[in-house]
Amino acid sequence: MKRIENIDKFKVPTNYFDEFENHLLNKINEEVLPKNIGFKTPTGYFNKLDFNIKRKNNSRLKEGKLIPVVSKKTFMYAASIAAMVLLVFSVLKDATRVYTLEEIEISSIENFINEGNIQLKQHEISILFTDEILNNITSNQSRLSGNQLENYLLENINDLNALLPY
Amino acid sequence: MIDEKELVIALKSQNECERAFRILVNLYKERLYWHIRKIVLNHEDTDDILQNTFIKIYKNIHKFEEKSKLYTWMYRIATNESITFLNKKAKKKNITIEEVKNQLIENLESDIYFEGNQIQILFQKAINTLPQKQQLVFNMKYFEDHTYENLSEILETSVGGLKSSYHIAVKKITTYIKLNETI
Repeated sequence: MKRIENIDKFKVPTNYFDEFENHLLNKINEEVLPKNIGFKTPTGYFNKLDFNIKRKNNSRLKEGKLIPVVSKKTFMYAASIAAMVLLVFSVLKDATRVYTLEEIEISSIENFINEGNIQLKQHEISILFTDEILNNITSNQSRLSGNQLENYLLENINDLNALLPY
Repeated sequence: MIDEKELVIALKSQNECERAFRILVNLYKERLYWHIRKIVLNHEDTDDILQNTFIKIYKNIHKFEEKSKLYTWMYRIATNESITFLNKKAKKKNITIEEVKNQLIENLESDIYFEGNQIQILFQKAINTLPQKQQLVFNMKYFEDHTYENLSEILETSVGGLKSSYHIAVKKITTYIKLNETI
């Protein structure tokens, strides 16, 4: 005990003793591995490298940029005008047509809502249902037994681990 | 000893950039060459990637914000270039990156710039059994002797994570070599 007290003033790096075992094992294991990987380079390779990089960089610069026949600005003007014309025609064409609710497919309405084009609040949805329907929905939910719920989850959930709390 | 900050200033200046770039290439060409060579294994591909790495450094030096050391930034570019190269090769041949590396290892025997023996080929095969990131950690720690702090900056991984990754890598490689040497 006295000896430990004597070395009390000395410090070791943080986590030294925690990591000591791993360090030691690495050293022992590394003894088996070759120190040289056997790769070599052509003679004088590193001496010529600066020159080769410069040459490659210059040849890339010489390739230069391609100058388009139609400038980007002109193209943007033409594209904007074309887009505007298309938009005007499509709006004018459809503006006169009035759709009835029956003519619109349910899936289109679903997509419209799913894409976030309309935000419905819970009470806004509930006013569309009669009290009787609403009671049925709530009473059906309460009738679900533990077993039914378990069976449903086992059949429909692929990764049951996702249900486990972390 | 060249001061890194002064070198970066010179690289970013219009008058001195060419001279500074020459210094930079001379300082790091060998270190980056061997770093890339251990990833792609043959000289021709390494030469190509090394040149592209330096050209990228030269062209993007003005984007270097000095949040990290120039040296770690360059290593990161070299690493990304090498891995992108292997990925492109794999995609072109419609095989996995591991299969590309296996083919490269098989070619080592006939490579005029490889003078290793069967143990060294086995060593490369063992390294190739590791996941890509573990291969990088192993190569950079075992051969290049980077500190964990430097590695942490280059590979953007915690020091603790790197230490355990290196430990696992050494263990896997030695087990692989011991197992395959005796067969």
